[in-house]
Amino acid sequence: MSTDQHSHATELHEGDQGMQSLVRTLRVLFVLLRVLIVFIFVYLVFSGVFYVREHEEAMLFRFGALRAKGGEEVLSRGKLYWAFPYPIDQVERLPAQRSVTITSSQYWPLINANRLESTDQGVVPVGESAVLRPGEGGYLLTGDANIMHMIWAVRYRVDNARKYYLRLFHEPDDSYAEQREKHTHGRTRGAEAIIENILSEAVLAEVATWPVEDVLVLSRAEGTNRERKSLANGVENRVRNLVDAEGIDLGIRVDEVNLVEVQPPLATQNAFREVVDAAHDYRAAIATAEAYERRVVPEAEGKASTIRADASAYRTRVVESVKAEKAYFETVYAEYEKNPDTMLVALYTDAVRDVLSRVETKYVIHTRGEGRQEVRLRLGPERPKPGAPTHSQ
Amino acid sequence: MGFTDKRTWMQHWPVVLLGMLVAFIFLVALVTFEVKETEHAVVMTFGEPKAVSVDGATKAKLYEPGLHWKWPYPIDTVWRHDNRLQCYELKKGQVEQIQTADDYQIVVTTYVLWRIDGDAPELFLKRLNTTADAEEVLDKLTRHHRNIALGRHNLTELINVDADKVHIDGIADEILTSLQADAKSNYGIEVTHLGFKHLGFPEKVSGKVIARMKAERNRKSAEYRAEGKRDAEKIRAKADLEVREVLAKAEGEAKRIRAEGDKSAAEHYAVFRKNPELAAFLRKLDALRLTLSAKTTLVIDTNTPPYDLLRPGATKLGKLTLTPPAARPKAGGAK
Repeated sequence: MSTDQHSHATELHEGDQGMQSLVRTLRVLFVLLRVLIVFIFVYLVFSGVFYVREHEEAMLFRFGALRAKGGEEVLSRGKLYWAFPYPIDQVERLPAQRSVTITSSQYWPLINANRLESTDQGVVPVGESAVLRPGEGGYLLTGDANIMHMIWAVRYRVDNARKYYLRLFHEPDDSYAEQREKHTHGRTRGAEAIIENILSEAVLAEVATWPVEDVLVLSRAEGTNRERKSLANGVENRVRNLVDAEGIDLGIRVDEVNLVEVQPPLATQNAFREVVDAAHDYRAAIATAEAYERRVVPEAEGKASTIRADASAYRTRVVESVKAEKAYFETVYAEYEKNPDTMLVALYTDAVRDVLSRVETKYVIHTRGEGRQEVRLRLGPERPKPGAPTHSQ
Repeated sequence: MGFTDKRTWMQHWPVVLLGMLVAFIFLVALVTFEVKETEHAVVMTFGEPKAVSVDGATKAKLYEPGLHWKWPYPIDTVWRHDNRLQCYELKKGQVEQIQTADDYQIVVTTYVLWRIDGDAPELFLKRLNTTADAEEVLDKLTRHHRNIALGRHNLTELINVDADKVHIDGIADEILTSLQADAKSNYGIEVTHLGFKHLGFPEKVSGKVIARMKAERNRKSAEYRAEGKRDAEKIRAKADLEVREVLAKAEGEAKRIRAEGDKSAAEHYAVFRKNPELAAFLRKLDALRLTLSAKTTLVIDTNTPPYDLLRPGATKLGKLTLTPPAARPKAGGAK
């Protein structure tokens, strides 16, 4: 018994000790737990504090229902808000003011772009002879039933976050694999898919009214045709109308629609280039002809003025000389009236003297009655010596 | 022992509270459900939608967004579906040819925007249940209505250089109207928009289109070149004409001016009529002066004064000539 008691006491003692250490450990644990709870509580309180950052808008949902704070459903920037932790409250943040660009290359051939350029070495590039299979590698039809490849881009901003978020389906954030899937197959259901499709619809409807020349700006008559800029404008207007149309009403604002790239089908590219060349040739031919016109007409005008000036000069000369002659004649005539014989002789001899004194080479031949004479003159390059008359019979 | 007494119990109230909180959350989660702003929810008791009676007609009860009560799991289940617009485009690789009213074969892709019909989600639930089902139905319906509508229109209403003749939007609306009615009454799908996103030709035709495009382009290049020649020639001809006109005008004017000069000169000539012989004589003298220069070689005989002095008997004054004989000037080569 005593041994039993003793052993019992020992057990008790040992049990006590074990219990005490357990109690001690538990106490420490409880203290830690309490600290943890306080921490969690504090964390919960403070984690509920949030504010709306620049370039975003936010909405608060309590148990899934949109909850207005201070009368506004879309929370404003520059204020502090507090929300219960999940799952009671949930804050949806939306990139609102950020510009988003969606590029639609569904009207672009699927073939690697590097292989699109036809080479000059006589090698038929991939796709040169290939037909366009519907569904792979898209294209657009112009108003005159030409096939065109294009890449379009639309830039927009979320204008009405409430509408954008609550009216449109948004695809959940995807895993990496799904994102790759999305990359290859394109967005399909969500808001971005809708916007891309709206862009496609607008592009299709607009391009369907344009002749191919205007789309490619091949027309040589500049200014008279609608330009490429207004193709983009036309699409932009259509996109704007669609975005706000009843049945769509996305709550976004379209900033810009751009035609990024346009290209005729590969097989026709040489023919199209040829047209561009021909248009250049046309302009060159016109320019040459115009240059000719610009050279020849002024020249003719110059010549015409010369002709006119000559004529005027002639007129002046003739009139003036006749006037002078007239004056001279009148003077002489007055004298002549007074003394006809002497006057004439004086005039005649004056003139002959004048003339003869000027003439360096003179031959005086003696006349015998009315006989004939033979005169031999040396009219050579050498200057004949004055005063050496050749004189024979 | 130590922690069973009252004091220790009081000491551990946070732990107890936490435990109770957790239990409470579990309980609440079991008997409540949340309806998001972006979804429709229908509660089903043993698979049968909870119904309400609106104007005598029984409809599935619609729950507002927020927290609602329900019986725990095996009794009540909640069916939800997104109530927002989503996009569905007909599956790729399933493009098919459609014949237009003017017998063109075309290939068309459309997309629709749709959402569950908020007034009658039970129809959607009954017939379709999931998005995938809905898309399958939409695929079928859209094709059907689209092909009917396109068969009534010409290709020229889809593509045309004359923008007023293109009725793509109208055709889309036409398809949409019939599609809307069908989808809503039969499947509880509300289609809000339909648009074309691709319009093309079948493979075989596209080859022909490309050949035609080539031919058109070649024709165009030839046209440009020929027009270039023609227009350039026109410009040249115009220029030449202008040159000739300008010159002819100038010549005419010159002639007129000269005539004018001659005319006014002639007026002055009148004075010579007083004595024509004298006038002729004076002019001759002038001519003599003008025509004889230093380089002239002059051959004259002794009949010409003053060289008649060289003749015998020159001292007899009466024999001297006064009227000059014709002088014969000769252009001399003397330099």
